Amino acid sequence: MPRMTYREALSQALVEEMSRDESVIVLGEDVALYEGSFKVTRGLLKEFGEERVIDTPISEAAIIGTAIGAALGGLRPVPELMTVNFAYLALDQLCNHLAVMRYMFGGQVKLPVTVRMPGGGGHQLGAQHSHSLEALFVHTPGLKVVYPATPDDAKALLKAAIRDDNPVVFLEHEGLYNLEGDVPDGLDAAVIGEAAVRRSGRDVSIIGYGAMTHAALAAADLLAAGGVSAEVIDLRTLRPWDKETVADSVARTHRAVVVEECPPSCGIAAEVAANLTEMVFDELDAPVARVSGADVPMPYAKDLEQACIPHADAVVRAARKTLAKS
Amino acid sequence: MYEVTMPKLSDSMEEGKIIAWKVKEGDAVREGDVIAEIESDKAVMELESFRDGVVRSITRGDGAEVRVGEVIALIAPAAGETEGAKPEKARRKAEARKGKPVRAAAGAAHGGEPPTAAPPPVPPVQAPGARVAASPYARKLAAERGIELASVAGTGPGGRVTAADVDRAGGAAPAVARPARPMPAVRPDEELPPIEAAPGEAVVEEASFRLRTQALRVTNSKHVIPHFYLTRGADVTALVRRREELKQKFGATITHVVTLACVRAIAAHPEVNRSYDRGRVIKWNGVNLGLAVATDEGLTVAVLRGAERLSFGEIVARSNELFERARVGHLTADERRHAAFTITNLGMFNVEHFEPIINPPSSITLGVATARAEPVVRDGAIHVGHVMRLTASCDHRIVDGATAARFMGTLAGLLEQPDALVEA
Repeated sequence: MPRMTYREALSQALVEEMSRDESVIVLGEDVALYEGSFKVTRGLLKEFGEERVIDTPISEAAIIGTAIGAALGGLRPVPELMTVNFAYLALDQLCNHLAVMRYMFGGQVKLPVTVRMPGGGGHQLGAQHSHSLEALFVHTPGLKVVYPATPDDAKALLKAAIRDDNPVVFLEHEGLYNLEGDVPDGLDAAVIGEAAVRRSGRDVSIIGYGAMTHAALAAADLLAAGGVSAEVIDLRTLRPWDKETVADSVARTHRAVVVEECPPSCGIAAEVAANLTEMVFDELDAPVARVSGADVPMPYAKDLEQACIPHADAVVRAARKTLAKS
Repeated sequence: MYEVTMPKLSDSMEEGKIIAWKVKEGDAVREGDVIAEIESDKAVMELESFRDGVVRSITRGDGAEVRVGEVIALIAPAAGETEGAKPEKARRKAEARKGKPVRAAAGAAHGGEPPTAAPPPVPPVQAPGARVAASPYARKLAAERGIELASVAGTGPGGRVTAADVDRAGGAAPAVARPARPMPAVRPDEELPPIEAAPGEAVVEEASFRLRTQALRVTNSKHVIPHFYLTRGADVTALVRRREELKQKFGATITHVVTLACVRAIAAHPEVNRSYDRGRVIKWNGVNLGLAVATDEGLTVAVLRGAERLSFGEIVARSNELFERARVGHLTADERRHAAFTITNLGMFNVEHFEPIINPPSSITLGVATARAEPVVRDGAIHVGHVMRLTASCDHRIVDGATAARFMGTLAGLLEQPDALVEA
């Protein structure tokens, strides 16, 4: 089975979808000539030409606005924002146009736009360049939000997002681009909205997404060494997220820990916790625990920054606490 | 000030007798020290202090008969302890101790049931008022199993009762604090005309505590539970033939084999492993078998818990051990509660057939009679064989004739094939 990095898997998805459907175009800052600031779009200009692989000015609003216009005109754009931090500059386009147009126009138009953005911290890029904004987009009706954790999911979910006629916010993580994994040949598009049980367990359910899935898996190993059997669920899609799979798991284990890189206030974990309380209240042996990024602007100093990002040991502590163990 | 109350040492216990105090007023005590010996309805137990402190006063003395939940002593806390502190440490210790027999803890026992004694009724000592902190799942489990949350020691944050705590309570140390629930009606003693013996006609004594409790139990059982009786004769010729071999190989008697057969039959018929209680069906996990033992003090039922997990050899060993301890009155609380099925055996007295009174909460109490040499019919011809009549006294609120008959069919079948039963 072929093995490749998360980055390569994304590239493959783009190549395959662009080959399959000539209405798919890519646009963004430095995506064509420079081949992308994270090299995800390497080789695309050469293969598909400058009409389909477009370098834009440094204007996020323009990038998204152009993508919207192109979509309304019948194309299937995959705009890239260099990082999710710059999405703030395009919020009006993203939330006031892209998210609501199909609804406002009574379904008369399709908006098959896939907005790709890497987010997250850990590289000492400071408070303005280390955001995790998934909660913002999950909070926006009209958008789908997807966040793969593994190379095979990166490929399968990107293909699915591109083929979806609705706007999809496709979140990536800078720290995952070099992650290697198995990606089967001929892997087809995934189903948006399905979570995956990455590891089965009995005592506690740990729910994560993106880079946090890996913290959850590492925590599960540590917990196993302490005699605790943890089930790990990778959400994969954040809006709409797979409530059934998560609720089933917690109904069996009776305890839940949700790991998110974003801050806790109105975050993904809060959303999951509220739903678990509604869906499986009588099965909960402990409050749903949240392990979140620190509720502060991201520090620049290395040690401080690391202290603000959830790691496996924080997940382990939270899991043991749900079992009333110290 | 910590109140030491009369603990509830068995599920039928309403009153306890203070045999002897081991401390006096002014004595310093530490958590775990034995402070008194208490007689419950079936055994004598040591009462431990749940606190460090000084005995401030003993309010009921040696020999006193006290209702469960009433205060019997006061202990002033040791310097530095706050009265409001939750006894978490104490509860955790109680759990660690749960394996030891003949111990009960003071300071955590509260509450009791309103009496069914002659008027005037005494109100319960502690009405269950405060909400118990428990996880939703723990509440669900407790409700399913008929366990009172207030009686479960919580080890979660802030003393919250967790699912694990409820699991432990399922087979744990003496259950404390039942909520005040009215017992079904009657002290039927009152309905019978009193016996007035003329002087010289009889010697009249106060009935012992034990005897009074026994009388109450069997009367209530017979009065409340609609009994019906189902008899099945089992052809135990083959079993009797193996009597010597069983003794040599397993140290076992026919009684042990009957016990084994009951365990297997109950496991195959979970519908008889249930009890009815005030509109609820209690479905017992595992097979907890009550074995009736005759002692000098009367009838005792020792409970063999988790019998479905035991091998024949283990059943023999465990039941012998239980009989021994029952005879000297040293059964633990665990060994006396919640027999979901009871066996009582009068075979050794050559009794051919009898119909026992149900021992609650068992929904069936099985009367085992003697294996009597009789003519038996096999393949149309008369042979000499042995027949053992088994009579199931059944609680018709939850067991019906067909259910009981099917169960008895399985049981008889097992006894009639001893090779398969014992070797299995």
